[in-house]
This record gives sequence, structure tokens and C-alpha cells, in this order.
Amino acid sequence: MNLASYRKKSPWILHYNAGGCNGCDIEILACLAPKYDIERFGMINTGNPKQSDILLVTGPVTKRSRERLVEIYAQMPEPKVVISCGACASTGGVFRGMYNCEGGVDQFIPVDVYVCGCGTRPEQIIDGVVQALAILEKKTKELEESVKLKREAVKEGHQLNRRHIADEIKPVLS
Amino acid sequence: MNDVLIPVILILLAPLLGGLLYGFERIVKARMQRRIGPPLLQPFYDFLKLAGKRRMMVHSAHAFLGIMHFVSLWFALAVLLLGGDLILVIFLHLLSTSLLILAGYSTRSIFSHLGANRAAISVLAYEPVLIILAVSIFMLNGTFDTAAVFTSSEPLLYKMPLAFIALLLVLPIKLKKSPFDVAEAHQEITGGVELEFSGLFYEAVYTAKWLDYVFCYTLVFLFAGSNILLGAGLLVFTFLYLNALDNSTARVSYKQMLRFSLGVAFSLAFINLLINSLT
Amino acid sequence: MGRQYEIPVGAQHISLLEPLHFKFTTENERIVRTDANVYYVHRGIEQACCSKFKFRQVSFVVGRVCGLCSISHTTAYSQVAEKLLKIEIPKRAKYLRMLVIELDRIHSHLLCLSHVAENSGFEALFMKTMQYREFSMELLEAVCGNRIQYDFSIVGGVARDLKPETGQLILQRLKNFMPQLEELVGIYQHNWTLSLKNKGTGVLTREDAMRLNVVGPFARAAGLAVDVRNETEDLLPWKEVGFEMITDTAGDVHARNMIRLREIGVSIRLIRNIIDGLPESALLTETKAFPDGEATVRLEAPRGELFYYAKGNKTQVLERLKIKAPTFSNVAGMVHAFTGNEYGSAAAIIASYDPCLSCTAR
Repeated sequence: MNLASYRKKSPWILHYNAGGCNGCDIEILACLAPKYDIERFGMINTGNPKQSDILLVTGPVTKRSRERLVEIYAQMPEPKVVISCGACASTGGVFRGMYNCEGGVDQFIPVDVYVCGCGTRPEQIIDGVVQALAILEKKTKELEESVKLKREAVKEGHQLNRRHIADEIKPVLS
Repeated sequence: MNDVLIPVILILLAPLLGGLLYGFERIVKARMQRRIGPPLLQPFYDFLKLAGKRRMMVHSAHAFLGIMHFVSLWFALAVLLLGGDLILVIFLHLLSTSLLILAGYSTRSIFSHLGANRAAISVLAYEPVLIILAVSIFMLNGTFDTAAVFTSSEPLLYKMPLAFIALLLVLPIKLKKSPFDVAEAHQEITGGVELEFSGLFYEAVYTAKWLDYVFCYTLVFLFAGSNILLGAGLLVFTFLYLNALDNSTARVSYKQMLRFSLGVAFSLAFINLLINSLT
Repeated sequence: MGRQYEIPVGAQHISLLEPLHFKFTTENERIVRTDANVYYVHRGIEQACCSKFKFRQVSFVVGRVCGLCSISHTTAYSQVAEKLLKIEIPKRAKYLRMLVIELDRIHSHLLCLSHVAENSGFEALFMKTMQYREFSMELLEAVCGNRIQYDFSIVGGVARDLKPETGQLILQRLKNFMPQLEELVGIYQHNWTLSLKNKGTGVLTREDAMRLNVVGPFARAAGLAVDVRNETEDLLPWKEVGFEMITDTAGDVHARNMIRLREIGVSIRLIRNIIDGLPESALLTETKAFPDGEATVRLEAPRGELFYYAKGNKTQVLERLKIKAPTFSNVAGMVHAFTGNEYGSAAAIIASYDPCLSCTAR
């Protein structure tokens, strides 16, 4: 029995609307409702970036919401997965090229799963989240390996902070 | 031998029991809302996941307080199960809650502050009732030790039914259940004091919630004395009552909660105390 | 006088569907001042409609202004374009437009009610309302082919016909829904804790509603009888299918809930009448003309009066398009009605306004 394989059964969701039309947002709400019930997969809508694993973004990124988007993404602890819900979150959609739209979430934060459709159907959203789970597991493994290496590198001060993680990895065995 | 072994096993297994109870409760809640609900072991999946997240903390004191909240709560539970002083148990529980409240005040987040405020008010709402309860037990048994209660052949429920009702009224405050979940209030303050915890440190707070379940249900079990069958009946009744209440009420404001708790639950407990001391 | 806290809600908050920022100044959790910042979702649709898109494409673009009332936007735009083209659309198209608008109103109102329930901390009622709401989404999918973005109205008529069996399906589902609606009315009306939370909170008096110029269910709950369906007859024949005005006097969250629930009842009656009296005619009026001149249109969206202004210059591209969304009128009333309430009720009050900021900011 491998305990680590059960980790992916508990994805907690954070939802942010970066300037969309509400269409995908109400479908995300419909996912919580009895007909689709995503709590079956252990998903909770936390509303708190510090405790979330999956960021669901809807809407083309407007100029005012882009800083909030990046801020929220930065507050989430790794491993984290970003899903862009809907055509306009993925590419900008019909809003592409409008003067206050940046167009596409992936210009600002790395997106792992693109969910198509205008608006996305709840089934598509659930499918997207299930795909994200596999990516989440992969990222968890990668993170564990890399942390092991880097911990050796930042022994000075006995503290692990953001600046140190970005440091160049020194050889473990000298 | 046996009267030490069973509590020790219970204490060691308390997080496990609490987790199972929490998972079962989530299923019951989902079924009451006509959903399928998560699997039974869902809290443990959450536990494993939170352990694997990156450790982010606001500052070290905050994280330390969160972990100490868990440890002191477990300690309070241990004292309760081993038959210690009931007053001591209640104050140890108060200590663990106040550690969490301190953690809430130690950050700069406004929601965390509000949550700490509200958690402090919740303590004000349920703590007097618990203390009166302990005093009533003292009046009856002549001792504060819970061991005497656990072994007494005559259940407390028959002697002080009003106090049991008062306990039922304040349990939703303690377990953060609707209508008295103002301290957590997800839609208003997004979790309150828990807000700034993440990763491993949130895990401590999350697991402490399970311990709280065990703690509260043990308090309910106290009323059955040594009658195990009655105790099981009381536990099932309390579980169903809490979930039915949770699913049929909206959240009231903290002022209404305080008024209700001190007005109704406290007076019930107090009348009970008077009756006990007169007879 | 307690210490004053400033509580920011938004741009991301669990009780908000859209980015919107409120700054509440509170004293002992009592709100003394509110600042609202609603323009996070400004995308520049109006400008794009006048430069990037041809006038026949614009009806699909304005549908994306808002996902909740997209049919109101497409219909209002189609009507204003038809005025510019000086054409009259077939009667069946008018009836079908009304049908989809009313179905959309049912789904929008139920969503708003469920949101109020959730923000009041009543999760079970949220789930129940969302479950009952699914029937309207399925009906909209059966009629239009999509769950949220319908693109049903196009310039000159409607895009799809209503099959007789779909009409029967709608009647059947509405019949099933009636007892569920009564159940919901019972809960929203009589649940004690919900009324503790909702009665007397977020009150907007009739005078304030008049002064601050609010529209839609928000105004009707305060006692103002404003409904475009009652005022205009030229574009969509509302009176013919039995429209009836509903008002309340209390002006609080509870009154808004009740207004929405009773309006759902009216919508159901309208839909029945529309399907029973659906006239036979073509669906589309073809024309090769180009838009010319100026025109305005008013339409009752689920949130209130929607206003469209358009100006054409005999080319494919419009010269000016102006959208005034219902929430834009309500912002002043929204901010006003917070004062004096508990912060704990703020989430429920926000939900009861049913704000649609993607409409407001465009």
C-alpha cells in the first residue's frame, strides 16, 4: 500500500474570475450542486489560496485583474495546478484584442489544463479537474525530488526561504 | 489494569476515531443535502495531501501556536479520558482554544483578526455553561474527577436532564456547526483563525478539529456513566441532532448567538445547578 | 465608539462570483461606511462592437457581456438593430424570444436565491435550490442547444425553431417544478434562522429607492412598481401573454427573496401562455439594408431595466453602441443599503442585490 498515491484524492479548489462573463462561474457553482456533486472526488471550494491545490480561472484577463491573479497564484503553496476554464480564459476568445483585455491566462501564469467551450459544461470542468489530478501527482513527485537536492544546498542559516530556493544547486557530494 | 488500558488506547486512537467520525459526518451531511458525498476516508486523504504541501508560514510563532493548539487539545482529551479533574479539563480546553485565538491575532490579516474576535466570543458563550456543568457534577458526586462519573452506576442523565439539554444547545458553538458557526463563517470571513495556516501547519488545526469531535462526544458520554448502552444511544442521538440542526438552519449573527447561549443555555444549566444543590 | 476596522471583501472572495471590491468600514462589526469598486471586469466591448465586428456579428458579442442574462443582451441588441434597419420581425420570433427570456429569468432568480441561502450560511438550502434549478438549465439546453450562452436571438428574428415535442417537454417539466417551487417558498418564508438573518437587513426604503434610481427586483421589493414589461408593448407583447406586476413594501433581503420567488411563478404562467398560444409564422425577416440613424431599446432583464442605444451610418459597422446595464443603476442603492447592518449579513446582502458586474463594466 502506497500512502502517497492517496494524496491526489483531495484536491481543494480555488476559483477566480479574471474578468469573464459569469457563464463559466455559474457552471462551476453548478458542479458543487447535487446533480454533479464534485465533492464525490473530495473537492472542496475553499476560497482560500493558502489551502488550495487547484486554481480555476475563468475569463480573459483584464488589465485590472491581472495583478490579483498573479498575487493569488503566488500565495498558493506548491504543488499547484492551474486550470483555465472556457474559451476566453484559454485564448482570450471573443474578447481577444479588446483594448482592456490581455487575452489568455497563460500569458501571466503557467496553465496546466485548458478546458474549452463557451461556456464550459460542468462535465467538461469535472473532466478537466480529473486530468489536473494526474498533473498534480506528477508535480508532487517532482517537488519532493527537487526539495531533497536543494535542502542540501541551503544549509546555511538553517532556513529555507524563497530566495534560497531560487539559488543555484550546489553539488551535494563534495 | 483494564480501566487504564482502555483510556490509553482511546487516547492514542483519538485522531483516528475523530477522522472517521468527521468522514462519516461529511457523508451524512451530503446525503441530507441529496448528494453522494465524499468517501469515508476523505479526511485522511486530506491529511496525506496537506503533509506533502510546501511549508509556508506567516511567522514562526503563528505556526508554533497552531501546533501547540493541537498538542494541548490532545492533552485535554487525555486528562478527560483518564478520569482527571473536570475543571482542569475544561480549562485545558480553554487554553488550547486561546492558543488558536492568539495565533489569529498574531497575523496582520483582518479576516484572521475577525475570526479570533468571534472565536473569543464563542468561548464566552459556551464556557460558562461547561463550568456550571462541572459544578453540578461536583454537587452530585462530591468530586470533580471524571473517573467517578465514568464508574458511577447511576447515569447523570437522570439526575440532571436540564444540564444535558444545555450542553446540546452549546455543542454547535463548540463544533462550529450552523446555526452557531460564526467563528468559522466561510462566506463571511473565509475560515477565520484558520485562514493564514497552510500546509503542515494547517494540518495541525485541521486534525485538532477531529480531536474536538472526540472531546465533545466524550462530554456527551459522561452523562451515561457506566451504562455503555445508554452512552451509545446518547452519542447516536447527539450525532443525528447536530447534523439535522446543521442542515436546517442558517447562520445567526454572533450577538444573537451570545444572547441565546447566555439567555437560554446558561439559565437552563443554572436552574439545574439550583435543583441539584437543593435536593 | 469602538475601534474602526476596515474590512476588504474582494476582488477574490468565496462569497463573490465575480471580481468586485467592497471596503467596509466597521465598528464592532457594524458597517458605517462602504466603498465599492466595480470596474474589475471592464473589457472594452462597446468599442470593439463599433470597430472590430460587423453589425450582424455584434449580437453574438454582446451575449458575452454577461453569462446570466445573455439572452436579454442579444435580444435587446437585435431589437435596436431591427429599429435601425426599419424591419418588423415575425410574431413567432417575438414569442420565442419571450419564452427564452422567461426561462432565463427562472434560472437566474433561482441562482440568486441559492446564493443568498449559501451566503446566509444555509448550505442545505443552497444545495436544494441548485438542484431544483437544474430543470431550467436542461430546458434551456433543449430549446437553444447550450446551457448558458444561448445566441438565440439574431438580427431579424431567432436562430432556432421550437419543436412541438420540446414545447410539451417544457410544460411537463414546469408541472413537475410547481410543487418544488411551493416547497422553496415555504422554506424561504418561514425558516426561523433564515428570517433572523434576512428580515430587516439591507433595507432600502421607497424614498431612497426613488432617489437613487434603482431598478428591477431590488426596486420592486422596496415598493417601486418599475418593470419594463409593464411599460412597453411595441417590441414584445408582454401584456398579451398575461404579465402581472409584483411588488413588496419591506425592501429588505427577505422581501427580495419573496419577490424573486413570486416572479418565478409569473414567469411560469407566461411560459405556459406562450407555448399554448404560439403563432405559426416564419422565424426570420431577411433584409439587405444597412443600419441607419439612431435608436434606443429598453428590455426587462432578470436584474432590471436594460437599455441599448445604437447609431448607424449606412455601413456594416455601427458608429456607436451604448449599453446601460441594470446593475449600473443599482450600484448607488447597493452601497447605501449596507449602512447600519452587521458585517455578518454583508455577504447575504451582496447576494440579494444579485449584482452582475460583467454587465456593469462590460
